[in-house]
Amino acid sequence: MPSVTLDVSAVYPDATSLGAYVSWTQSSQSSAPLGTPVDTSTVSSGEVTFDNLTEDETYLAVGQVSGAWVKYGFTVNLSPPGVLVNGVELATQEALDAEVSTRASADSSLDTRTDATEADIAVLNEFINVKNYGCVGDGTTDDTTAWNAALAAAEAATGSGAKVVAPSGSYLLDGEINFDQFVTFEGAGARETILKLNDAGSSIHFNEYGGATNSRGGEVSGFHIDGQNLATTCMDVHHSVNRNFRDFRVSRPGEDGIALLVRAAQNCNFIGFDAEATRATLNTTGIKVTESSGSCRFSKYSLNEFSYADIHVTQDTAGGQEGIGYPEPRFISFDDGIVERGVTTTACLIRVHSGRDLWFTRQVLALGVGDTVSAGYNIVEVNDDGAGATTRQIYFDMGHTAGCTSSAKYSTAFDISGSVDTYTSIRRWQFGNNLEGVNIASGQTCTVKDYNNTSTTTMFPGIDPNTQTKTAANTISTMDPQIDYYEVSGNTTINTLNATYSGHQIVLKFSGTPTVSSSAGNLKLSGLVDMSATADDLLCLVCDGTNWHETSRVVK
Amino acid sequence: MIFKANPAERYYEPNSAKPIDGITATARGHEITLRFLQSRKVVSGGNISLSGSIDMAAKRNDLLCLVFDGEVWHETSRVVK
Repeated sequence: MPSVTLDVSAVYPDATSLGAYVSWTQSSQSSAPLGTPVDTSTVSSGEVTFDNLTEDETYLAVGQVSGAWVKYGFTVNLSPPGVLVNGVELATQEALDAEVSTRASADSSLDTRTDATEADIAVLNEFINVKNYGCVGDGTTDDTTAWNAALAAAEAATGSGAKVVAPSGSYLLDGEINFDQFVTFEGAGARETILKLNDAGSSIHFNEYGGATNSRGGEVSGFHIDGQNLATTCMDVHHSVNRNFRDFRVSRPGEDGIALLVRAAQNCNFIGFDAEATRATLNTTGIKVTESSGSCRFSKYSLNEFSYADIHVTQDTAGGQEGIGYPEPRFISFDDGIVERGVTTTACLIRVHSGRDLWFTRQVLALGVGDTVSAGYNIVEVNDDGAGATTRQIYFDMGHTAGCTSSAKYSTAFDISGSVDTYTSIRRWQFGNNLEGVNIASGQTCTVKDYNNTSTTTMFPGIDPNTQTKTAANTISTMDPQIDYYEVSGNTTINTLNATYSGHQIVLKFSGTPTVSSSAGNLKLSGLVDMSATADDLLCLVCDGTNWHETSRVVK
Repeated sequence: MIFKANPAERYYEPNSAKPIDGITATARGHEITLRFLQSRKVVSGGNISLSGSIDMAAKRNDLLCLVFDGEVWHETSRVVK
């Protein structure tokens, strides 16, 4: 006779013995069962073992709860359904029922299932509710272990798409929790599902270390991670690939802390989120992108009151990270952002210290009216961190750098510096109430086009981006396709200007007395006659891709 | 009168008869084109430097092109109808 051991602790918490029946009836709800059980056994430590059952027969286990005979029971089928759940074979019907009851949501109809099927388990595997794994969500009970149990179940469940759900609540976390590959997470909303990090080491990780097992796929949405001014890193996206993060909030990192850390991540989207700090003294960062992250997008965000930087892009680790192929972050898009601060520090709103091909579009970068930042405060800083990586091809298009007030101007909107050329481009930009517009250091290439200045004191205190000075020479080989105005000094005859692109129109303004030759090079002047320039004369030319043709000249 | 130029604009249609004897500073290298909608005098002097240092007596639909060197607006070309 086969022996079967059942865990009955959840159904019969105070039963001392159970009987197994083929069938049973009662004369009333309080009456003992009629008929004779096939087997009777004592309950020990929540388990009961029946030894006298026949294989492939269906039995009912019947017992008392709080002195009353209950009307429900187990169906014992010794022919194993063979359902594999989380790597464990559920061999009996009651095991299936128990699994359904344990993992079901608040739907009470599932709590007393006696006919669970493999399909039920499959459905439950798609939605793993953290509260069914012991999470309390009362804001005071440590839910770390329960959260990680739910996440472990999700990872083991299907390997390709389990979803973890967290109902509205405040989940206190004294440690780390890890979302690894394929796990999808859905909270109740950025103001509903709150993950409270309770110490400096607490953090939410979206990661999977190592090569081919990178954390791939998975939608993550609807949550608020609150660092409570304690956590060093609130949200850590590390080695994630192809993940989408939506509708979330990250707030209050601790001292020197980071709200959202993105490192060595690829093809990740962060859409519709906000991040905020509340204490000026903590030296905090809103978004930090580092360690060769690439092809990531940040869109529709608001950042507020971070005291080191709201956005910081940097290599951080010399040599970058493994497996990505280049050291500094590349191909990162920041779009449609509002970045604001209202605290008194010497922070930047955006710091770019190493990175390539970074796009910042539709940015409102604003200091608060009450801010009392000191002179030299940079709203945007493009630099290099000297860690071996470079900073270049940084694009800012459509935005506003707003200083404090027209009567209290201290800030520099853009500070472009560093030991290597950054090739920064600023387009369609509004400069308001800044002390300085774009401060371009020697050795930097930066172009500024289509801008508007409402009350900035000095637009270009360093290099003027809209002009270049040239010394007259037989051949001037450094014509810049982005520059339309050149001031030419010296008296040497000019035969050739290197061609830029067809349609490029330029103005040369002379301070010396050079001859501009129309016969020896690629300069085609009116009547093919040389021009003998004098100081303050102007010559206007258009390039056809090879030659430069005179369009007009003004002789003083 | 001082004509107000905006760093983001390159084309203007002045519609006034008052003489222009100055243009507000913008960015070095900024080029602008003025198309006059009525007769108007442009004075060479102040921060305007016209060809031959001679004032321009513009008529309707005349064009004047200028470039700014950081201090002075220099004529680059003109078209008289």
